Amino acid sequence: MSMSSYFRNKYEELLDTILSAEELIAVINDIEKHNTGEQEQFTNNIDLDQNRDKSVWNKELMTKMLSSLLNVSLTKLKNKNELDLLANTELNNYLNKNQEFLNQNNENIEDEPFLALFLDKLITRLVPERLPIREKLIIDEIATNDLKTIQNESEQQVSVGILASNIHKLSGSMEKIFEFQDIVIRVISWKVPSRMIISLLILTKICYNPMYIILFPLLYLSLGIIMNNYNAKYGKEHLYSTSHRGKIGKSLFTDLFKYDPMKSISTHYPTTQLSTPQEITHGMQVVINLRDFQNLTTNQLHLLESSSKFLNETAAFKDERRTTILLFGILSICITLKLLSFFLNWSFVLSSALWISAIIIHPKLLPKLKLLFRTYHLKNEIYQPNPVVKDKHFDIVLDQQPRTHTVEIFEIYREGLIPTTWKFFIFSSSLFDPSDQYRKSQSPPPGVKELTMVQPPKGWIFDPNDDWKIDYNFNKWKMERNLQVSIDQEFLIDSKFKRRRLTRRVIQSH
Amino acid sequence: MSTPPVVLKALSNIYPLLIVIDQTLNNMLWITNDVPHIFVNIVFVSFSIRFLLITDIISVFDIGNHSLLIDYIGLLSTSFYICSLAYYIYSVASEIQNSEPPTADDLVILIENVQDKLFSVKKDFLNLFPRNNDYKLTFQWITLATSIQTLIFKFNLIPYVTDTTSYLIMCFVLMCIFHTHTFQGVLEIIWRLKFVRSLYVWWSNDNDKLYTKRQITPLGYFDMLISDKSYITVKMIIQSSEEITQFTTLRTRLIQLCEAEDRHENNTIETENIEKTPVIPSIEFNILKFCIEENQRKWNNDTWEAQTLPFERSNFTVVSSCGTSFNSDNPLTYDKQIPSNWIKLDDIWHKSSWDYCNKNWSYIGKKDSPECFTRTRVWSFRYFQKK
Repeated sequence: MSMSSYFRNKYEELLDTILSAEELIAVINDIEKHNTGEQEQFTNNIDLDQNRDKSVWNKELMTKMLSSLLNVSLTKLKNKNELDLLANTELNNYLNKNQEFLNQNNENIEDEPFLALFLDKLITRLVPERLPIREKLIIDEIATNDLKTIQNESEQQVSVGILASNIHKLSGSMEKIFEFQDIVIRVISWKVPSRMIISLLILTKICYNPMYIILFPLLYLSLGIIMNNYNAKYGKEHLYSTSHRGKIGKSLFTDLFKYDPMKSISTHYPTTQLSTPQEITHGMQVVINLRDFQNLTTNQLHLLESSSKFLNETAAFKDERRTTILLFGILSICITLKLLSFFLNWSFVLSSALWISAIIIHPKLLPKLKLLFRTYHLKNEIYQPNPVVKDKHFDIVLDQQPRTHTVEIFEIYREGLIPTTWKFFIFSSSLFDPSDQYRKSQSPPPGVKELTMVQPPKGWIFDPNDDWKIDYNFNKWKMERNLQVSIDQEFLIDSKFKRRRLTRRVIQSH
Repeated sequence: MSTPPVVLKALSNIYPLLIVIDQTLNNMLWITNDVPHIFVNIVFVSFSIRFLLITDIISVFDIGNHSLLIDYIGLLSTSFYICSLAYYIYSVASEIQNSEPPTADDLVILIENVQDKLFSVKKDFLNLFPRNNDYKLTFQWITLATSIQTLIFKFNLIPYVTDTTSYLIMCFVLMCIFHTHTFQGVLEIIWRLKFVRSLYVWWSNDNDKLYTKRQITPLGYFDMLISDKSYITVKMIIQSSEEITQFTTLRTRLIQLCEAEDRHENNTIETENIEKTPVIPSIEFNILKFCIEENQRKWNNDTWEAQTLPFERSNFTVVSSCGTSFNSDNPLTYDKQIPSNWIKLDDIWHKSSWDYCNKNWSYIGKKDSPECFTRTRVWSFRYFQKK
């Protein structure tokens, strides 16, 4: 017993040292923050701001990682220590084989692996502020009970454990989604022609009467799912013996419409090379699901990318001509469709479009059609030996007046050693008057030493035909800002600094 | 097992035909991996039926007519299905010719399959008419079917079914989907409805045979028992005076005698022997035994409830000596209505153990199992009277 108590004392000492180490790191962290702030006093470039942020970010990240690492090990050790104490106090229970409680505790600790704990701590350290709350369709019971703080906390927590378990569960249930996806693709590629035709028939029915959008799912639910379950429970099993001969006789329907890629492959390769169906183990299933999940996310990213590209570039006047043409194209399509609708049977048009497109994408027909199309094109190209390059278009006039603005900057002078002598201090967007926050913190405002280094706002350029102008209408901008300073010529003077306002025209660029 | 070679030869000659029949039955019973295929067939065969039964002449210039497209599809599918049939038969014939001749096993398996399938077709069909044995009911069914068809044609009872063509198409589709698991399952589920069963029983007059709807009062039952003389008479040999003066002793004596009498009834020879014993001072008692059956039905969640179906026996029934059963009151109300010259022999009603039965009240066993849906037990109570 004395040995164990000695070790426990040692143990607690170690814990104390670790605790103090962590505190030390926190202090260092603060100091570094301060230092980086002071150092920046001398680098006066506005553009450097971002870089500074980055370096600070990296340093902070490092320290935070370190401290959370320590914190985690601390928690682990603490937990173990508690367990140790628990083991001593509950020794009798333990001996009486009442292990359940202990086991539970053990599980609790071992359930959260070191890495997960570490990442959790890291996340909580990296994001100390409250996370923005998402909009919710269904309000939690907690929120209605005026316990908003609890709700916030529960929403804010980012736990690697929960995330991992969610992904694990999701990957399990994703199997069905991927199977469904498989079925859809198999149907569309005419590998199961009967299903393809059934779906076409259903879509045609929907085209002629939209009521079936409601009816078909309900029918499927009742006759498909519920009746299937009923038959699985009570249905009679028909067991018909099959002879070794297999099926005799061929169906014209399948022979005509079914697309079987294996057939075309097997003509080129010996059949022995075809992969034999192998047993799918659980581990393999997990890997397959992960692969599918990965592919799914990649595809979704591609989709998002292309849609955002369309929305932010093609539809957002990135290329003025294209967007203009797109707009006119869409509008003219709308108008023609609306005009045509008086003469067309839309149900018929839609359903025939469906059928025709389904037939066109039939894998047996598509290559032939492509071939036909290509030969047709080749013929056309023969007749046009020198195709006119139509790169230049003169149909759309882009002479819109761009938006213009005036930007301001303050030229700030500091009072010299002798009063009434002024020394240039900085060009800044900040006024640096006595109520200015930089002034209060006694640090120089963000700015540059030379006028040429001043950058225009993002998306704008300085008017090249205009230069910085001194604003002599000082009374106006003084009034606008409600400043209580004296005026000397175009300068506004306070106790230590004087400044004047420079303005310049900027033009929006793309 | 030896089959004469002549038979084998004959069978192998009709082998292709058997295959075609088997395939037809497969399609009819939807025994296939490609269920949607049959569905597609149904749709397009319906189109071709429509096309084949067109009565008017199609005008090419009548393009605005919506039915022109459907007629065209009908023509297409008719020609396609004729080709398809020819193709199938040809492929069967050529495949059999090109392969080795069928063995006896092949033939037997195929014939068995065809027989099984035909059997299940018959069974499915007969399921529509449960317990249909008499000609009267068949006549009823025919009358009903005729009137329904008249209604369909006269008053457009079913939308879309307006003429012979659409009626035929409907019949064809119904015939095709009749053997699907789904349709059969739906029928079974419809049969679950109490309303449907009551309707059917009312229609076919096919209720629980043992049961008449008449209600019998306790006094009525009592009178019935008296008039049937179904009470037993026991002769009590007086062994001590206590037996007559002390009520409880008398009762126990009588119960003993009664049980002895019950036992002797089974063994009539012994009774005769007892009757031959020399006369000793004795008193004769009449003992009357009420036997009331309690019936219960299993409802959902495997709970036994007193509620039974409206067309079958009620919760408490009484069976008369000639076999007809009557609805009865709760036995606990009996003692108030029995004439006072009869004295209670038992303290409480004696309840036998439950007999578990199937859904038609036929006995299965003494223990509850998932196939038991009803149960019944007998409550008995005895009264006595000095003769």
